Amino acid sequence: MKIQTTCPFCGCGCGMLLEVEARQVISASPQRSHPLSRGTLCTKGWNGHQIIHHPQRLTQPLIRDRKTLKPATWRQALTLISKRFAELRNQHGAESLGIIGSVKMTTEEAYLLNRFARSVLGTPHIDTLVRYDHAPSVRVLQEQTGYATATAGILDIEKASVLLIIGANPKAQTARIGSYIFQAAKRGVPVIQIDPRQQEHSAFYAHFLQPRPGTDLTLINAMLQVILANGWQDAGVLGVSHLRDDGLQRFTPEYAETVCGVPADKIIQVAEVFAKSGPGIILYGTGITQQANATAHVQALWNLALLTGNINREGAGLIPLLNANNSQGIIDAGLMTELAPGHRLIQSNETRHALKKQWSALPEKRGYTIQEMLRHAGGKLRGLYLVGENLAWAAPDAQAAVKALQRLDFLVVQDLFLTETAELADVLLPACSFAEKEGTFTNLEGRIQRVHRAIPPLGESLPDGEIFCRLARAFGAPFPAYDPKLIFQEMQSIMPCYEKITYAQLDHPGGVVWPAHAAAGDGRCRTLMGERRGALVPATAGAPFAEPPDEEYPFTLFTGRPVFHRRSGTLVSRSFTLDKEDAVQTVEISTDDAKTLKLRSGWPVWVVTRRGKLRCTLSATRAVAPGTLFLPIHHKSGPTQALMPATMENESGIPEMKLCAAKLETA
Amino acid sequence: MQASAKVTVAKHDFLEGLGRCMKETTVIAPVKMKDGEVTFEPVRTAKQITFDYVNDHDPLKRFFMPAREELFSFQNARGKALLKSPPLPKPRVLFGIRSCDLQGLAHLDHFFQGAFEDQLYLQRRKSTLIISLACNEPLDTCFCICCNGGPFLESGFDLQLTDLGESFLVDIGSRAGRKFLDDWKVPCQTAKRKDEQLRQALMHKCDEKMIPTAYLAKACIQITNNRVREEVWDEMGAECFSCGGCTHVCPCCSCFDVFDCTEGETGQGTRYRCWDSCQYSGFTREASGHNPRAKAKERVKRRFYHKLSYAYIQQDGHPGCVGCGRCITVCEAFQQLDVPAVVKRLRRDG
Amino acid sequence: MGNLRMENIYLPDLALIDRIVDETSDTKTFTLHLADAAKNRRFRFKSGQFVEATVFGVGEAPFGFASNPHSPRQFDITVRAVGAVTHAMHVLKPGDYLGIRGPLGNNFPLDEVTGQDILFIAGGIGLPPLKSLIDPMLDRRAEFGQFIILYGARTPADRVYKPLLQEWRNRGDIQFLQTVDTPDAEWKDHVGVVTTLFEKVKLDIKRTVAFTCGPPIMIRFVIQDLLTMGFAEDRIISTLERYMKCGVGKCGHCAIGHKYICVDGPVFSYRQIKRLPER
Ligand SMILES: Cc1cc2nc3c(=O)[nH]c(=O)nc-3n(C[C@H](O)[C@H](O)[C@H](O)COP(=O)(O)OP(=O)(O)OC[C@H]3O[C@@H](n4cnc5c(N)ncnc54)[C@H](O)[C@@H]3O)c2cc1C
Ligand code: SF4
Ligand code: FES
Repeated sequence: MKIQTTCPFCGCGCGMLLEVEARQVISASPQRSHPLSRGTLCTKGWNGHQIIHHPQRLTQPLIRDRKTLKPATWRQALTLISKRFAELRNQHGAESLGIIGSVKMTTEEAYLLNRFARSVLGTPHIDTLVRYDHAPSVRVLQEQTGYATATAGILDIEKASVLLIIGANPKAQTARIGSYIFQAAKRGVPVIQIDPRQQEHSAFYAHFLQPRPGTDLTLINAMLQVILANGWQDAGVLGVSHLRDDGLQRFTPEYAETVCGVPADKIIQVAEVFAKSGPGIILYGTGITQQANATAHVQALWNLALLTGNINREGAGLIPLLNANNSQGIIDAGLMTELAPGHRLIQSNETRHALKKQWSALPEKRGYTIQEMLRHAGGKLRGLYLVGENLAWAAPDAQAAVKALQRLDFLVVQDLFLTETAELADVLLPACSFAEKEGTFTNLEGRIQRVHRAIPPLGESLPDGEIFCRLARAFGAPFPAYDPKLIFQEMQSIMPCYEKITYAQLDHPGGVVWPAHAAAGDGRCRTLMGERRGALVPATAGAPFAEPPDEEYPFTLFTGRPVFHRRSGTLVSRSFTLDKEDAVQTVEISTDDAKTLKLRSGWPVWVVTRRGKLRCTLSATRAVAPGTLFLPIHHKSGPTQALMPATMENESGIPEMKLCAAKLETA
Repeated sequence: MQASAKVTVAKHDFLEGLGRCMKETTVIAPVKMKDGEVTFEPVRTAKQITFDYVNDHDPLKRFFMPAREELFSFQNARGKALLKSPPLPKPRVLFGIRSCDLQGLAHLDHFFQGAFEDQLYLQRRKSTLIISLACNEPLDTCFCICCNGGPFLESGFDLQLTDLGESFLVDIGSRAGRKFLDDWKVPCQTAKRKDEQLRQALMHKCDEKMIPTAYLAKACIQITNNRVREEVWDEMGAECFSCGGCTHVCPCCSCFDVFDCTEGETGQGTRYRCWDSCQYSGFTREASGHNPRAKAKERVKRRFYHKLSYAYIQQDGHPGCVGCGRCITVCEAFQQLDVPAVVKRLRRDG
Repeated sequence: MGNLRMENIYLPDLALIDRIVDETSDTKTFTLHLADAAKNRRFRFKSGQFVEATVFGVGEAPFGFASNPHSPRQFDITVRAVGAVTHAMHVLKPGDYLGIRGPLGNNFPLDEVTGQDILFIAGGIGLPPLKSLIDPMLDRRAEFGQFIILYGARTPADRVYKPLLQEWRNRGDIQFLQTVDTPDAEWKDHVGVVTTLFEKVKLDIKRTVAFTCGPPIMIRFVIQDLLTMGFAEDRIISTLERYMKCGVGKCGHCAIGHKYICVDGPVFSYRQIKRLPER
């Protein structure tokens, strides 16, 4: 039998059918009627289901008994958690507790966890790994449009006349979007790509700019400068003088050439193509958000979209390529310390007032982001509830993160597998996979889609949402039995963006894109923003690159994802087929540098940074420029992120984990 | 093979007979899913069956070679292991399979026989009665006429139905097929010449609508003689997403990988096979780390060598393509790397 | 509905380990016999064929026979630990069992090459499969002309079958030369890649059949040199190695062109190799 559901890997949200036989999921196949995926899946979609029945799945709660984790009943585990958390709260206050949620949970579960954290535990410290990918996007888009979400839909790509991709490898990261971009390029739509590494599809794009890593802000500002200097901006755009006052003038293409290493005339050319081709979409990824100046990057891109008339227009807009299947749903549910459900800021009195009516209790202020929680672990923060994230691999400066987790008085981890992080837990709760529960995922364009239960939970594992409800009840809070449909309705009552959607509609192929009251054909941004216009914002005051190369560490190391990989690799490495794809950890170096250093492809090397080293196989290629090294994340042989810095960008709380200085040593 | 006998049967009579059969034997037939798409699955009554379909997006080879299946189970014990082959399949009926999928099964039959006989597949084939349904109306991605894959077939079925409006024209392809009609008391009339003429007309109309795209010969020659320029493969390799979709949905593809799964510390476990794809780089990586097809380009080349080289056509008796068009729909590199597209590219090259 | 007799080509037989010999730090030779006495009595293989060996719960991997096909009721495989299955095999003890499917694949020509001069070129772990041919040939030494074995390994310690190598050295009726890439203090023999040994032997090219087995890169260079020396393409016999799963021509992993290494190989003449579309 086939069960229709939504792919649990990336933010595209492809429609998928799970084939079930004798309570086992034996395959996944694509849903032909799906408006986005149209009968396709990427390699993760096809093979990722193999995790469901992996023999290492956790099937019962475990409690730490000195050095080892021992099987326990749910009652024992939940009682212990409520007892220990209550003790910590009594001793150190509610603010000694923190919550980190998974970006793979359903939206209903994220909402419940949010409610549990803020109204039952009473802590303001909640966050998710959206922080690590797109915290700056959340901040800028929320400020400008009122909603922390893309201003265009994925299908708008088919209507755009020009596309700009920066800091992303859509083919690998969000394959379905990569496919739409590829199709556009084949139709002759000019695609401009800006990236320090040439990708397989770059050759099909009309323009490929390869700036030095870490110089994106100068490049975008130079494009803005060229557009303004030539009067190519959209006629109706207001507030251009802000940009002039901000000193945009000094970003001449010639200046940018010296900083970025991209020829001035090329900058002028792509600025003209982008400004003059008609409706355009900017797609960007973690390549520009995990850096110093991350927020300024997104602001500058916003300026570019606004200046070229690409906000409030069909086939135009700004799309952050959110990483996880439900990053957007997590944002919608407000599971970030600065947000409340429904894209409102928790700081706002109005928001707090409304929410308090529903939830009865709410902490007074915003709390810590992930990086701050780790920093305060063992000090102000004593207890942590970590749901479905393998911080020991995913966190920048991973060893430091592990040490932080070890400093805690009490750590609860909820996961499918005994990850490196789960091994540190005092209590480990077995969650079930996407195939074993009901609910919704919201893809990166705000498409709410159903997740359907194909098989019963394995062993004693439970849906995350069910665990939250039981835990809340263990704290004496009157949470009802977990029913995703009722939770969805509760969310609708306090999240205007989810209004006017019936649960049945969600079952249509492709579900519903919120806001659902948008009339068909109406640009998504227009309906989102209402009367708002958004403003040009100063974004030129770039902070210097935190760790420039020097004599000791002469290379700039940057990271990216291969196609068969996701996030910390906890899941994909447990898919038999995907795991085979990922046999060797490679590091890419330019052919010129390899020649100078007398190194050859296939040789083992150590990549060394100030935080650690990783053994890799060298690959000499023309895809990267001299002076740079490229490392795919993550490989099972060792956490890539352990090499990367955890320096925090203050505006958004994102760690600057994309770039750092590095050297190579022969192994 | 002798020309099959033909009868006509009123549609509701046939379905009633099939309904009687369902009480005793599993019948797999096309049903509508919630989203309007069609899938094949076991049905309990004839009412569940839909005729409003061209084909299932997931090829029916899955009923003979499931995406994941048990090869055997084992129990490790002291000094020995107890091994058990999976149970023999039960008899069943597959109703409504299209000609292209059936031609795909013929391809797999040939492959799974050979020097070693894959009884897991062959026994499922043997225990399944095939009632196929010829196509009157192709999809815009269909090109079975180019690959001898339809719209109707001369052999390979137990019964082949052609929809003539009120009745089916039934080709009886085997003794088991005739027995089905007798056992379930399906009232048959001898087919008249006009019935056959009507079918010919329908099929002719169907032919007309098909994409006349896959003139295979030139591509076959180019591939067999390795005359395709490397740049052409380079470009295709760069385009390819290596999703493996084309091989998963191909009725002729059958590559698999093997893995063991154990249950905790019990020493008990199962060896499975699961579909694999020559489009994945892990497919050929060797113990030394050496990978003869490390680049997507080499893998795309491999796929088309297997599908279209004369060496393979001679070995298999048929190209590795039946014209179902699924690889057109499934390809992430939209309309660039499916069989008709590549055939066209190779035709233009050189 | 047809004959439901079922023979599962994927189901292994149980084999018991009689003896384990450490060859190098990462290589061991296992002497095995089939647990079922009747099956074991009937078990016959030819030089160059291989088995699929299973550690239940870990997986299955192919290994060439490393012993004389005529030695009764036992056979050897020599296994280098590189991954999951091979490491699992290395922790086994005599008396433990493995799953075995085979013999599989084609074989080296033997009767076809009587009367010829014989040249073996082996690299590292490539010697074991050749040993399954060398052994029976030496039993019938008189039927062959000149008999030369060239063996190359990375270091002296990486050589397999060290006592046997010594025996070969001491035999007057064959010429055995060995070389290593990196010598140690005691090493007195040749240093360099295996192809450097060609200068040290005198060959009657027209009368000689060459057999080679080893890492792909070595095989490539060996064949190049043999061709340059004037060997006819069908007088160069090599084995090809590919990632293999089923061993019976069904899983598709080992295919090169339309040939399946597991059934059409692993033994090929260079004339056949040359015709394969991917090399
Ligand atoms: C015909 C033939 C004869 C062989 N004879 C011998 C022999 O006599 N002695 C010997 O030591 N080795 C021999 N090998 C190689 C041996 O089969 C591999 O070393 C073994 O399969 C590795 O299995 P593993 O589970 O330990 O490795 P894995 O953990 O499965 O894999 C480690 C690496 O090996 C690759 N790999 C997995 N399975 C295979 C495979 N079947 N073939 C090649 N690569 C694979 C994986 O992709 C991975 O990169 C032979 C191979 C073939 C094809
Ligand atoms: S593109 Fe994303 S959503 Fe679609 S199948 Fe791949 S991982 Fe899943
Ligand atoms: S190993 Fe499976 S086909 Fe050769």
